[in-house]
Amino acid sequence: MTMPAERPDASDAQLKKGVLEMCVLNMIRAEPTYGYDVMKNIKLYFPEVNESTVYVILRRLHGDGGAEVTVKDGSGGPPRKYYKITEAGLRQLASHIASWRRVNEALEKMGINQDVSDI
Amino acid sequence: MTRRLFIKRLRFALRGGFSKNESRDVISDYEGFFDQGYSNGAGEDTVSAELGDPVSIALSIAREAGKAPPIGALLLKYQHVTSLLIGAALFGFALLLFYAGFWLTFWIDGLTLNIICLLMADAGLLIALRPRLTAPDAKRDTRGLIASNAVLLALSVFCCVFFSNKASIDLAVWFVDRYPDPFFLGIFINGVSQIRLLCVLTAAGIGLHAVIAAWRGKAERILTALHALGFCAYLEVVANMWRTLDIPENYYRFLALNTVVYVVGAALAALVLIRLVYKKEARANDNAR
Repeated sequence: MTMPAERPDASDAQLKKGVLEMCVLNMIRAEPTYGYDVMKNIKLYFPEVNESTVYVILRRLHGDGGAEVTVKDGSGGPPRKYYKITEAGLRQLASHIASWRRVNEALEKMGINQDVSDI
Repeated sequence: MTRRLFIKRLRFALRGGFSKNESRDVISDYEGFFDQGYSNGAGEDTVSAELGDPVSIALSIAREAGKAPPIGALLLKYQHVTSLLIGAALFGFALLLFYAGFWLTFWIDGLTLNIICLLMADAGLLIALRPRLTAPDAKRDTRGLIASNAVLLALSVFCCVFFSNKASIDLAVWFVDRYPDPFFLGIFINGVSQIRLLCVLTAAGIGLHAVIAAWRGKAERILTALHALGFCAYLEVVANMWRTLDIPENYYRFLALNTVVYVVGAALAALVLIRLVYKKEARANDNAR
């Protein structure tokens, strides 16, 4: 118990509310995507993110109407859930992207997005 | 981690926080993830590594849903506290048996029984310390623990041999020959019992000190202190009972009742403590963010 609970994903907490949700919404925008593939893809771009975070985001999106779930029979296994963005989800995505742009512009103005190799 | 173990841990971690339907839903999702992983050509170890820690999954889902952390997840997360509980219960039970040895000495060899009990007590401590001993950062603590444990074991065996029931009886016979007055005999037996009690307490104290010295976490310290207090109270009760009770049937009833009370009490204390520690850690993390 010397290690505080879930300390490794302190930065993950910052990401998961906004950026990760935006990425997940964008990923399920084009076509219904299987949950496992979403999780794996996010992990590819954000290796430090806790594995359960993406699953929780998917559940939340399904719960608040940002994503709809299509259940297809698995071959012999449990039925598989495919996630697809809804109208409400598209609005959420647009809002996320707008906020992210504002942050990005502010960072650009502050010179933070420039080359950092000499720091 | 194998798929079977992953699902087993996840199912346990969801206990005490989610309805059956909710748990089934989550487990079914994760079963599906394994199937999908296999069809992508990954092995079960790879997939379970990709999916993360079942305990963390259960805690994240509960937090997101605004629920209290599931008891199953907390028990798995603080497995060392659970182990400490089992170890301490074994230790307490062994101490009780140690006293049962006094009564049983008329039927079987009390010395053998006492040695078995103290070995059991030591095994209890080792079980309690196992997660700490096997932790990757435990090398420094391990040496001290093993040394303390060796001292405890040596002292236990020494106490058994030196103050064995057989030796006590031999001494008592010698004493009765010299001073045949029942009053003096009573004082003598009581004196021997106090010395034995002191030895057991010393041995228990060294063991508990090892736990306290080695475990830096506050929860373990509190839990250990609670158990130490429990042991003292317990031994006091047993010692009193020994003086006042002379019917073995009552003794066995007392033994059974006390064991149940002790184990249930320790379990409740551990659960309350685990919940408190989790809340405190969660608050500290929120502040850090």
